[in-house]
Amino acid sequence: MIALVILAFSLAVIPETLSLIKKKYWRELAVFAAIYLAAFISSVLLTLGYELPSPAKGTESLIKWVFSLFT
Amino acid sequence: MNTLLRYAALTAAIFLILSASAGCWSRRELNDISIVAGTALDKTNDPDIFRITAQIIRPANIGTPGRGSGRGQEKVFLNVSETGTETFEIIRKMARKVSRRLYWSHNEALIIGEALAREGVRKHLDFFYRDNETRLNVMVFVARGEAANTLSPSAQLESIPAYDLYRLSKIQAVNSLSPNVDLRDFLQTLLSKTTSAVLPVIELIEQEGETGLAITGAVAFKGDKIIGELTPDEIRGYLWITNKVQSGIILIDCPAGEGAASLEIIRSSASITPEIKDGILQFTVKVREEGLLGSQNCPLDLTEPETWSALEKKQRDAIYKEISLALKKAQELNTDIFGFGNKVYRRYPSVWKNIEQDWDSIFPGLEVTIEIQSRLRRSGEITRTIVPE
Amino acid sequence: MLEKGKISAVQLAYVVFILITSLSVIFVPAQPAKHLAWLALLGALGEGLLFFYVCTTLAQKFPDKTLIGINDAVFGPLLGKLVSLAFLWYFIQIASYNLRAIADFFATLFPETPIVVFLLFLVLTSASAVRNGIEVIARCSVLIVPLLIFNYLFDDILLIKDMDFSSLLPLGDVPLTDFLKSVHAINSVQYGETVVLLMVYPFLSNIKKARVSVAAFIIAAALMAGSAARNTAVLGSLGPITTYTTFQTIRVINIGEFLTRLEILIAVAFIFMAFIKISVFYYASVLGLAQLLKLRTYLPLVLPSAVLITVFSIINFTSAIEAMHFTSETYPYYSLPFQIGLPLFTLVIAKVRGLPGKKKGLSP
Repeated sequence: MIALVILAFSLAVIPETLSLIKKKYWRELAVFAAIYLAAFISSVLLTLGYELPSPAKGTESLIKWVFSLFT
Repeated sequence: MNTLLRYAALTAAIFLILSASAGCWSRRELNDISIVAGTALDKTNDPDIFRITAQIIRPANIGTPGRGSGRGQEKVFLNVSETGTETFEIIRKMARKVSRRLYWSHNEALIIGEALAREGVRKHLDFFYRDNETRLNVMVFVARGEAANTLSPSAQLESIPAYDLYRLSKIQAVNSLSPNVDLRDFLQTLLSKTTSAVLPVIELIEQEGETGLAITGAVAFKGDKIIGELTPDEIRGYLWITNKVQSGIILIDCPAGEGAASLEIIRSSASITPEIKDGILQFTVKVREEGLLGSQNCPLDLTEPETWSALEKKQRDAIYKEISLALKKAQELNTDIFGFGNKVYRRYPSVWKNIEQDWDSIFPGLEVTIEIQSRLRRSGEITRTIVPE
Repeated sequence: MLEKGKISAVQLAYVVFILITSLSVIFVPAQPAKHLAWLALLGALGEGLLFFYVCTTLAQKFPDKTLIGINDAVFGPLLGKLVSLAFLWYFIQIASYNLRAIADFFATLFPETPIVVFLLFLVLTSASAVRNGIEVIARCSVLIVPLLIFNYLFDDILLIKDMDFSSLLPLGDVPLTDFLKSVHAINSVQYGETVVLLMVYPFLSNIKKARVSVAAFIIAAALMAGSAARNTAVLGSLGPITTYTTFQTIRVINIGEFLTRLEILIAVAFIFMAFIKISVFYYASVLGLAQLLKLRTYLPLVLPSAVLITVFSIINFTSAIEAMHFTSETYPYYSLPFQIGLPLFTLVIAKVRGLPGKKKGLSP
């Protein structure tokens, strides 16, 4: 399973990176790399079974805290 | 505009193809499933355990109806039964006996054994709505005796008894002597605190040496337990009040008392209206009906104007009698099968909030006014009966 | 210019229609309102139109700027970017909520399939639309809307014989606070999300015509209210316990034993609607990020964002119940600052600062 993920990511990188290098879009390549890395790392972690924190839960706690200020 | 149209067509085509190819993972090929046609729920001797019998279709044998003595009956269906404490648990247990996975989307009949129904059925029905394969259009019945037996009549019109039962239930509309209840209706009464259901009763009867299914009456529930049986007049009265009469025969005596006439019900509509007069809750049941002279066996010319009016009056009286019998029985059994409470809620919600808990003490004493408007419209192909003048 | 496409006001109206009706095909956060759900839907229309008015006024003040540009102009380069970042986070989260919602729906129908399969199919389709730009998304909407409207009306007609209109009574009996809670919850999920269009308005061929979409609001509200009323009339007291009300209602359709099992049409309609909705928010996030970082193209961001959205869909909620709970309880408050709070605040500050000034140039 994890091999599949790594393979998919490696394949997807190539066309996009090539087109960016060809156009000499360095800034874009940097941003692409950053997001890509984040996506890759989180996917791998998920595939390995780690539980990543849930932003929705964070939002819920935030809202609850805001409410507690009023009551 | 033309290229836009082509673009549009192409996109639409692609979307359609994509959505059609969905479901590959959870695909259920036809030869991997066993289609459940009917389900029976029964009590066992153990109070915690109940039995489910599923009627499964044998696709290989369709086309050879289960008749033919001496040739060895090739049954088109197979009844599989299993016991347990919880519905889904029991259904999964059936995998021990059935080589294919059960498929519920074609289940058309749900039959509850009388004994089980007297104890309460609510807790066994969750699966039938929660599951994604089950549907609300299932017809619900109560069986006299063991429900599982009604799944194995030896004679039937259709090859699969459960589907036969489904059709049988629908055809009762020609008589309006038994209610047609589907799961959607039944579950709503189970959700209601005051309204209860009336379910048809089926049993196996002897027909030419074989056993066949027949709808022989109806039972009234209180909540999820059977509380009493209704006579045919009471059943029809119930159907009149709840606006479920579609067709049927009203049998009346000929005015001079020499025979009887069958009046056919053509149209009927009913309404229940709650009213609060002087702080007292009252109900008015209004029924409008149209009938025609279906056939007679007395020698009178019933189409004479005076006789005709007398017939109309008799028709009206017959309907009145059926309705009052139904009301009386329901109030005797103290079960609101007509949904009177619900009507109060819809019209006087604030009043209902106060009296809802006491409905059991209020219902039996309710005053109900019956207003009937019934007409006889036609006499069929002949006027005077076949009698020399 | 990051986006070269232009869309007409009418096309925008189609997109708005889909944004508004989206989830309601299966699930409306109207639990507290019970049988008055249809009324709550109409009430939410009022709130929604108000929000829409604020957003379009803001957009018309800055006809060539997307939300990112507006924030920069009004709040200054540093604060503006922070505000924009918050919005981008909001948009991408919405994309993931919606993705999860439709995937959950299909997972209920096909329980064994891992949810990832549905997530990926949907998000990758959206990715391809996003790569092609807003024009393509708008044109797809134009195709889809007639199908949706047909679906709504067709189903309404086929169910007339199964309706019990007394289920809609009494018109009272729902506490006002519960009802208002419902109205607001509905607005936050259906109408209020049109705030995302602040990223799209600059691409209108004529910004002044943006308010044409009000027609879409009204028609959508009418159809949704009609469908909610129909669901109540058909399911009666079963409605409040049903997870996917419209779906079960359509399942009841049975005309002459021939027209049955029509619920598949709903499932298909839902795929299309979810596709557009996810694409719009996906597009807004990606375009916004590119603008924020002053990139020359947003294309390279599309694919990795697809994965991120999928990841969010998975980690945000562990179960469908959690997701629904979030939508009805937390989301109405969470969305408040984004749907009306910030737009209104931005508008006020802009007015106070006398923006836009006399300088009118073409900025991204």
